[in-house]
Amino acid sequence: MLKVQNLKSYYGRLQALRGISLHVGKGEIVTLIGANGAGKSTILNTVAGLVSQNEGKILLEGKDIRGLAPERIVRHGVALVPEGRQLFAPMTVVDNLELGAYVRHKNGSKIEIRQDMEMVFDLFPVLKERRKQLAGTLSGGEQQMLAIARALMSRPRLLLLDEPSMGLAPKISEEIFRTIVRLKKQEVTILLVEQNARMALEVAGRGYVIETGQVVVQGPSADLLRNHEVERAYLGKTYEKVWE
Amino acid sequence: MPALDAHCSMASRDEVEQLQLERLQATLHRVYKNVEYYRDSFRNCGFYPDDLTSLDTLQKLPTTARDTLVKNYPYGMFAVPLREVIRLQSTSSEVRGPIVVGFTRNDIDHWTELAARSLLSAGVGPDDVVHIYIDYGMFPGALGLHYGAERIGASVIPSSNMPPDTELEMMKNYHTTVLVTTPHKALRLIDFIRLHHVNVKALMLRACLLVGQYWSESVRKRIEENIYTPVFDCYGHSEIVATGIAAECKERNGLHINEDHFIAEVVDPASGKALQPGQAGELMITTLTKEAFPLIRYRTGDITRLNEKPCGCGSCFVRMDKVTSRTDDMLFVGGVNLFPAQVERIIADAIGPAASRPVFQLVVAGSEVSESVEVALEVNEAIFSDRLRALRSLEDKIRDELFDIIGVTAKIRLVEPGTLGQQAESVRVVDKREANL
Repeated sequence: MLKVQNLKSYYGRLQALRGISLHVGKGEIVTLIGANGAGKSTILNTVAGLVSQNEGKILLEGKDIRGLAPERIVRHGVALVPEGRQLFAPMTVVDNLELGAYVRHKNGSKIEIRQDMEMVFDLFPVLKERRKQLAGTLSGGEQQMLAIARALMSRPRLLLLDEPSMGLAPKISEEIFRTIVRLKKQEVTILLVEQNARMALEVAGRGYVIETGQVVVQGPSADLLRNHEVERAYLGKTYEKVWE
Repeated sequence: MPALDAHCSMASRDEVEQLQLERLQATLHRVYKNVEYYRDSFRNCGFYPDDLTSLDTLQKLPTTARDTLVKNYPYGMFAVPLREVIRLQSTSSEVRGPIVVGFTRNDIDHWTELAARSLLSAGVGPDDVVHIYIDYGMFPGALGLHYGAERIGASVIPSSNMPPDTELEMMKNYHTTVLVTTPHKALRLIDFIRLHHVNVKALMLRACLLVGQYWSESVRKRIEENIYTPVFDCYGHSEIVATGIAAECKERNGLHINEDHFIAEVVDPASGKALQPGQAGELMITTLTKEAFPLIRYRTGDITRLNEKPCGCGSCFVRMDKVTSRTDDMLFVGGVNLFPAQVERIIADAIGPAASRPVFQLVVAGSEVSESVEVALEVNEAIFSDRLRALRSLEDKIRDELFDIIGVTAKIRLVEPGTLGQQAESVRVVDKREANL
């Protein structure tokens, strides 16, 4: 589905990604884990077209989408759930969802969009209850659900999830993760960025550990859970002597 | 588990190369960060892991020789702290220096998967009774296959050093369906079968896996004719994983290299230059998933050819020819590795420190089943004694040392000075075996 090869991204003169290669197969959940500032979100933002300075290849089903405008990338079937939700706070839940389907608006698509809205309400019943409420007045967990639901409204082939558990109580973030598992059953392909490595590896099939803009370890989640390099990537802990 | 997933080797070439690129990048970052030798050698050639943009870039990197591993003995090449290592395996050799290879839990797990994959490609399944007739201590690859067979769910019978009659009796009684052994042991079994007219049809064998030695197609033919069972080859290397780097599929036309875990290159042994597919040269392996002991472009010393043509089994993994020779002068006698230099050291130690370089010749003779080693040693002033007992004790000493250190039973023959002449300097090994293993 998604293949990234030697991706390098820059913020001005600062290089954030230093040659990242990764792939996400159809129907897979793949997670990117790593410490703060490792470059995880930059990967998602670059794939979504939000970071303009970059080199390398981003292939979506064989087609290079690197350098396209963000809205074109959405039309290609990539939806980003950004860090910190970024909802349209003064608008209602329904309005937010409709805006999620913005790229699909054309004559005769209204019914389809209505059906999709029913589908996301099935997925997140609480949103249905609060459909008329303003997005800014929802709780953190509900806002996160709305952000995911809004992204789903564009009928993405690939969903990019950036820190869905951020700022949420453990119980709520567990619920968010349960939703991700449910999405998996519906064969949505997900690239997930998470601080909470353990939780992320429990829902994802595979993972990449990012450290200072590089992949240091990659593999099936079970392998990563046992790999101490993951701890080192998080804690920045290093050792001088091998027998330490 | 990816290795047991049949799709893994059935992936398209594109997918395999994407995976290789990802894993190679991660491996290079890790060795650069954690292994001093690689950090220095990369810096010396002006390479930084970020520079790797395609798999071809790998060819610019320096190779890793066995000597490097010896120099960094014991833990210099480890990429993880020792507390994360759950197995240490030493591949010691008196002359070439000892090496210790470490494995983390994930390394063992991957090895198990690769061994399981090798067995699966030979058609072994959960209903099989797998008889592992290898000396577990001498050959660590046995452990890999043991774990691999268990992972498949087969019933495993470990048996190290039984005499052939007990072994055959066990195989008959336990309904062994798959025999995993070394060529040497297989040939001994067959010799016994022929000599004692054992009814092979009473056995339930359906596959035989040979590991751990260099052997030829003629050996395969002989074994197959005698036990009416297809024989499969499985390749490994003691410094990487002793079994499961490559294995034959049902087509038995070359060994598929497990390219999701290793990158194989074939180079000219002298110049180190890359060779085209189809040309014979030294096999070089880069590990992609090993955590504790990653190796970049490791020179295996094994001569082979790569075959990139698609295989009838559907796997897109590249195939290598059966390894039948080496770049160095290593001999394989009776299931044991033997280096002439090793023998020289033992002789020199036995004679004493003051002596000049001993003049000797190794004569390997016999058939594949019963090999004999003879050491012809010229008597010089340092050795000579007018007492027969002194000479006899020297002979005994050399023989015992050869057995203790190398594990080979040799006959020592003292000869007059000049008998071996100039040729002993250049031709230290005379191989008189019927068919070279």
